[in-house]
Amino acid sequence: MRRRDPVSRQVSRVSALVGREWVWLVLVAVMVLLATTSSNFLTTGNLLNVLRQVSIVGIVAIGVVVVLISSNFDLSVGSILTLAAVVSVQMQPVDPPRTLLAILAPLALGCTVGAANGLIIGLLRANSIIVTVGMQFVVTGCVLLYVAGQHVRVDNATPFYFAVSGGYLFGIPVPVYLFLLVTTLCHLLMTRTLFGRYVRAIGGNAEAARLVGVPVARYVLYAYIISAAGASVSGIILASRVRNLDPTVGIGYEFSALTAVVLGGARLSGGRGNVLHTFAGVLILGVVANGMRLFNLPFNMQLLVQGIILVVAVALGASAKVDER
Amino acid sequence: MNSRFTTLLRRRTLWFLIVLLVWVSVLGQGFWSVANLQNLVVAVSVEGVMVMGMTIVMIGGGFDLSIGSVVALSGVIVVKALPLGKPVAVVLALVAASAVGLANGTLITRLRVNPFIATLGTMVVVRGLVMTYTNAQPVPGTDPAFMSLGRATIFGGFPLPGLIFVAAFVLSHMLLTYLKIGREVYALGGNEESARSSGIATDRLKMLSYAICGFTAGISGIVLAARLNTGSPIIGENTALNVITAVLLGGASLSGGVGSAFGSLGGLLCIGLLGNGLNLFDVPAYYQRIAQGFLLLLLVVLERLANRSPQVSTRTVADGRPASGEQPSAGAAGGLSS
Repeated sequence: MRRRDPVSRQVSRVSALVGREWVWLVLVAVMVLLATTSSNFLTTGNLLNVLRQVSIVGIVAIGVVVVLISSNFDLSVGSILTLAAVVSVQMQPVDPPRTLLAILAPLALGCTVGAANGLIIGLLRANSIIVTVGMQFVVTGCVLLYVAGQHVRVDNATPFYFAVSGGYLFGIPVPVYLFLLVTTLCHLLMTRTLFGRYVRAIGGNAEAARLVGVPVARYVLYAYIISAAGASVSGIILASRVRNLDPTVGIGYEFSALTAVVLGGARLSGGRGNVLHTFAGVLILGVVANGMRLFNLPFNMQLLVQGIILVVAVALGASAKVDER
Repeated sequence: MNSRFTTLLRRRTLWFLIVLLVWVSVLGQGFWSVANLQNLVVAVSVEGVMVMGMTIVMIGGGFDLSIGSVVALSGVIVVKALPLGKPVAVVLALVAASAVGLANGTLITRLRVNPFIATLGTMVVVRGLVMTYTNAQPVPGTDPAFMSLGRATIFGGFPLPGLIFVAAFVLSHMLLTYLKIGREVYALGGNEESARSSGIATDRLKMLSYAICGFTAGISGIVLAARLNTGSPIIGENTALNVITAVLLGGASLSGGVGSAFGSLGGLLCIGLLGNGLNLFDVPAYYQRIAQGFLLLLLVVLERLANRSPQVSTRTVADGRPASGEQPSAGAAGGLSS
């Protein structure tokens, strides 16, 4: 083999880094573009606003990417988010014990739904799309039944309950801390622990993982519980922010989350995917939506642009040979 | 599990259908009334046309989430274009719907994008286009004669949409069983690589199947718009999942290669009867969603249980009927491969 000189080796190392981290470059490019065209974009207030707005869908997306790395889809997260939000409000957090209940009950219920997904998919090796769509039907129907299709609301919620979505700590909104915390935890989980290695192995080749002794069903179950827990946390944040909820509020979150995940370069057939890249994907979506608001483009056009971003991201990702992670 | 049990499971759609039919027709008050039967036929027909298109795509190993948006697109276009004359409006709507199908096909064949994500993207893009174009407001119809397309009856009471559905069913059954192109679709879904090596133009075939699926969604969109006399930009949010449920219930698999027009008809009737029965029993609409979800979950569980039995029959490409509940064991949960 021909020995390569240090310079070209450096160049190839940099290009590999760029190939791996292109999602951050896209984020920077979009931000530079907006900063030069709008004077309102690069203000602390606006940037914090973007972070606060993406934290709900962001936490969902972080859970979805964990499941996707195990080569499974979770299309039930939107319905789990609705379930958590509605149950949280229905607990009427007007005093401290009820506030605790309004946080724990949605988490417990959401994780139960996730566990049901994980059990059916892990034990029976059933197709994850069908199972999670079926679960979405069941959960959505149950929520509508529970509240008889009506809005639910809570007045006089405790300050603590408000603070989940509206509080600030050192000038930074609380949901942003939650988003960063979930991202960090999941990133560490996927990179530093046995769990992460097992989930990657399952996503890469489930049969091979089983043969080398990975308890596939159990780790698929864990992945789905994590995804459901993320959706439940988002649901609680949403409930704390809105406090007057439509029982169809979670529709579409699974698709926004998937868009962010795909934007973050996760491979749909599993085995590969990076929590931090998903984080960047979420930020790109948030910054683009923010930019469209700054330029007063109608909401419907944001939908259009989000769809185009998804198609372009997937087309680019599919046509370019992505480097081994 | 013995083989008789698996044989029984294999015809699960038929069993569901018989049980549902007996349940609804014996216990449902007013099932046999003309008005109810007409309702049932119309409800089944509008989604049924798309079920036939989706059957072709899914036998070929594909997937189409965008049809709900296409229904809205074609409905809005046909109503907006009515001043140009009915035939022109209908043709325009169908061309637009087929174009979305072709766009799906292009993304999937030329750019090798996973069908699930590609059609998710077009779903969002087309919905955004329709919403932007109409400003999210429904477009009222201007021509009362146009409504007859969705509301007229023939042969003394048979709804016209039913006739359109029957035509779609017969055509897709013929295509899948008697035409060379139908055999090629089964081959494509069974094993794309060997289909290509045996000289089938797989990319062109895929493009065609997505175009057909878009076309059928266009027809449904026109019929719905005619029934409502309105082009609604928000219609069809749940259409894709409902249609896919019917096709899966009819014996098709997400990994392709199996399924039939008859099977999908059975799946469609199951969902139609279930909804109609729950209506007749005055069950709140929310239960329908729950019931449909449980039906899907039951379906996968049964399919996996049937698949675990030692008796594995080979699937036959030619007769196009689902052999055992087969689902190649791809991945822990048979996730889509890209």
